[in-house]
Amino acid sequence: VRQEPAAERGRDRTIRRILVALDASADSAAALEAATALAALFGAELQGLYVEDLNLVRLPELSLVTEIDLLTGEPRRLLPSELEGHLRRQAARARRSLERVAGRARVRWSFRVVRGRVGAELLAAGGDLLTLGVRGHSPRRGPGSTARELLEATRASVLLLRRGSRLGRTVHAVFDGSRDDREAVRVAAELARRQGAPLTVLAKSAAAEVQTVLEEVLADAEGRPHLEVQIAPLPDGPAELAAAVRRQGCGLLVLPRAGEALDPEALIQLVRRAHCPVLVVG
Amino acid sequence: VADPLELPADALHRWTDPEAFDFETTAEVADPLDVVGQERASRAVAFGIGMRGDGFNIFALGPDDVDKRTLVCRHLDERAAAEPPPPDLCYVHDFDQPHKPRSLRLPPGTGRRLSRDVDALLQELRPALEAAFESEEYQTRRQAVHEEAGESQQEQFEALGERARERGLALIRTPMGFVFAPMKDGEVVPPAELEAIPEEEQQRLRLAIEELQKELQQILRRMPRHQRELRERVRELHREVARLTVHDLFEPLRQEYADLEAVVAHLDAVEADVIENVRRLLGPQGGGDGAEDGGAPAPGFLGGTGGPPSTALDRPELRRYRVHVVVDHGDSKHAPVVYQDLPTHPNLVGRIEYLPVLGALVTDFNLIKAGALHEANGGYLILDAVRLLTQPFAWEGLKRSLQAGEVRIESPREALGLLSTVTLDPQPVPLEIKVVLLGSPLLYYLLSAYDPDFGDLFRVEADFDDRLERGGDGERLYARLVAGLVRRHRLRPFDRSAVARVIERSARLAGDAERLSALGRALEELVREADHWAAEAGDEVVSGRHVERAVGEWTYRSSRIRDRIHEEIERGTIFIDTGGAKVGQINGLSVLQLGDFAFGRPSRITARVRLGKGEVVDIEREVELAGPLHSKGVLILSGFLGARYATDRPLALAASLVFEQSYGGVEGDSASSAELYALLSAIGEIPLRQAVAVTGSVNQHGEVQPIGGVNEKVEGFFDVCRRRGLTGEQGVLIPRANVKHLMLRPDLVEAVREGRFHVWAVATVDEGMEILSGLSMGERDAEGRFPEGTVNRLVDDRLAELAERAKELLPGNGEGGGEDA
Repeated sequence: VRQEPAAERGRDRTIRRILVALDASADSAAALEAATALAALFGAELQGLYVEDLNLVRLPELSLVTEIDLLTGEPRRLLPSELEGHLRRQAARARRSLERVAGRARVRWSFRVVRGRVGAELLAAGGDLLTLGVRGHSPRRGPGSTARELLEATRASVLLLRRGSRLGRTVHAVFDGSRDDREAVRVAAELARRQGAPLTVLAKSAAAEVQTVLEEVLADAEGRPHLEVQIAPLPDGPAELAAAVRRQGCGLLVLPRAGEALDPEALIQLVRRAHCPVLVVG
Repeated sequence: VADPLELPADALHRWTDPEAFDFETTAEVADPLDVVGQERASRAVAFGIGMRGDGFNIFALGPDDVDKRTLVCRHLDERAAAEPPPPDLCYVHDFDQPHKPRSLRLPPGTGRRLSRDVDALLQELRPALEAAFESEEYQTRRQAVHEEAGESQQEQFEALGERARERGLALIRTPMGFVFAPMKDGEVVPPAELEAIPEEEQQRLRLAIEELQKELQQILRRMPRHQRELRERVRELHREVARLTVHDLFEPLRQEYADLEAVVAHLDAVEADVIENVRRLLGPQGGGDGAEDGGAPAPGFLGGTGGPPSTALDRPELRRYRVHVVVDHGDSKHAPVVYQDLPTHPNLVGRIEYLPVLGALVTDFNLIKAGALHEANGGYLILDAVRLLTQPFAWEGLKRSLQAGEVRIESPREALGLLSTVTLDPQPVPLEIKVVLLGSPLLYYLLSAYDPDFGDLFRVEADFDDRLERGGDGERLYARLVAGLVRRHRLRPFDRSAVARVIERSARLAGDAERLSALGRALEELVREADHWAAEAGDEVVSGRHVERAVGEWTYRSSRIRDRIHEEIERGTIFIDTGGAKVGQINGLSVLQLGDFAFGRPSRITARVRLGKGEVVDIEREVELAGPLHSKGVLILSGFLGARYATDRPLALAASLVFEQSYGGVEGDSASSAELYALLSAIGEIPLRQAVAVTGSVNQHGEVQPIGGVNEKVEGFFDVCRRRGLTGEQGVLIPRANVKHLMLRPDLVEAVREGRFHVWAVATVDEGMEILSGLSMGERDAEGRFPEGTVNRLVDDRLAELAERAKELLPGNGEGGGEDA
């Protein structure tokens, strides 16, 4: 049995503030729904953030730059007023959907618009949990790097999901022997308990070890409601993992941040394929 | 009775002897009957039913009150019981011609079973497909298809992004499109720095941007084709998955119905359609984003645009796979016998119903409803001809179906353009049916004469009689018929005397002592009313007096007009003498028919004569109040007079005849004997007994011929006389040929028995004239002269005198000259 570093053990891991990045896309709408559900579960505050991307704002000032229209394929001049107006409207839309979704779930919420680099602004905004929609495979939306950047930089938990995935009741945790895997199991157990849902632990190591960890984790939870736990072998590789959780109808996959096989690139593939929200903790 | 012409009381009413019955009450009758007699009709119906081949349908004709249906039904039921039930009729969707539902004819009971089996399959269809489309295998393959496609595009974009990066540029998504922007340290180069870049470098960037933009445009242009290919591959995947799932569901059904080719073919078509339209079945939620290949409901299927479907099977995408049982013979043991009492066009040939969906009327084959022709197909259909003919299009529809040998569901509304909405043209069903029409003879003969198709389609004429023989077994059979009626209507049992009274009443209704009425309705009324009066009296058994009461009550209810007329005669408003003797005046008798009730009344007929040229003027005819038969009777009188009295000299008289106090029309020749008596009396100035009324027609030879309504006529005069008091002188002269028709009222019979009233039956005018005048007629002697003091002598003398006078006054007349003054 590995020992947790003392610093980690002492850290307060209660989720009080959930940051959700909003850009009025379908992906961010899914993120908003999931974040709201979690906020309701933890009694946390929801903080919506709309980032006006500095890179975009700069574009009209560049004399070299012409825009290729997505529908017609024709080049045309990018006007500052047009872009500003667009960003403003998008922010308003994002605020409205936050108001609606959070209001319905009776979750406290706030909303901010900032201008800057998306990743940096999200990191700067802080929060105990960052929620981010990951773009699906639609080529028209271009490759996104925000998620990647965020995963690399933040210390907070990150909830990733693509459009169409929803937070379900069954929770899966990955226990892979990496640094944060206990934390993953702990958070997953907490979530499962709060929902009264079963927990599945996908373990790489021997069942006995998992058992011990579980006992440890569950020891904190004396007097709490009963938790149903299943232990299943952890599949090899992100693609297999994605297939397995999809097959098992997983509602939320909890991963340790330092999971060895899961570099940010693989994680994003996993989010795209698993059809369920993925929570990275550690 | 001294007078040989006077009828004894027993001849006036033929009694039925209750003792002749071998039962006490009808409750003991072991074998009651529904129908008696009707040999001719019965044989015709039996022939028509047995005769196979086109057009041998039956028209059962007879008076409306004759119960034709019972007899026809009995024959049909017997025959049908020995025949197997016909096939079930179902309608199913035709996938090649959506507006022409196909008919399926299946062994009896199979339709219902198939429909249930198919419904069960359809219930399973969606869950099974959903399971298949949620399966790991499907998801994986679908993902693979998408990823393959997505990756190839992603790769293109990524390659483009890579080339941009090599040139110091980045591909950036803007709200409306893409731009290539110069980058530095992962950031767009700020404008100020860009301007600081040397012109040469700027030019290089500009060229690179242009080049990359062209590539981007090409990628964007290829995108629609790409999407289309992707959709096609996904669709092919759907088909494959559906095929695997659906096949397993359909296979057991195909096995079960393997010997029914049409069913298997339909199942195949359904399966193919399910596979082709699997996305529609799953709805927009099932199996991923539904926008990929159109989830719109099938056009023309109910609920597509309307309210919530009531059951899963009513969903538009499943409705069209169902089997709609239109005619179900699953519970039939034999061929059907159907009586359609409201033969409207839709009730005959079937109809298509519509449902309003968002204000529009829509339909599908599940709303096809069978008509009587479908129900009775393979069996027998009974229709009422009058109702059939009074329903718009119904007669035409029936004829067309019989001629074509198939039932086609067509609505006249569409033909008339009264309904303009999408409708169906269901496949016609071959028709093998025997139709029996019930109608009156008038209708039958009109149709035969005016409808050219009628003879071809209704070749069998079953002619029902309105009366039957009373003699022989007649009364006993009739008793069984009464027993049948009593049982059918659950009445109190009738004892012998009641049955005897019913039979006598029936003979009276037939107007003939030797016949019985076959008018079922009148008999039924009588029997039920007698039962009612027995109930009123608190009797458990209906006996003769109850029947008499029923007859009496019925008569009383109907006889207001008769009593009013008789009253006016009694009060002297209508002039009728019932005593004394008068010249040129006689009481004729006429019958008035009011609904079912007929009664007789005396009418005063008078004759006046004067010098003339041999014409007998009928005043009724002159004012056009006489019908042709009456006029004919009067003209015959001239023939008789001329032949008897004026063979060798002109008939130099002018006579006028009139029905006194008659303000309506007069028809029939039953008064012609009375007119002749009046005429002879007027010519010979012979007084006639006014206490005697007369009926009977006469021919040129002076023979008295039978007339109708003899009972009513005799009773009519009797009633008038009785009101004034019977003198013992009064009576009626009837034709001898009518004696067998006498079924007079018991009170009248009693009066005759006591000698207070008389009925004479005469065969010739001479016999009648002798009774009326009290003189003998007299025969010509060798010299051609009649004896002194006879009727003939008096008449002959008067005519001779008139001829003489005519000769004096009108020279040339009688010499054969044609000069009229």
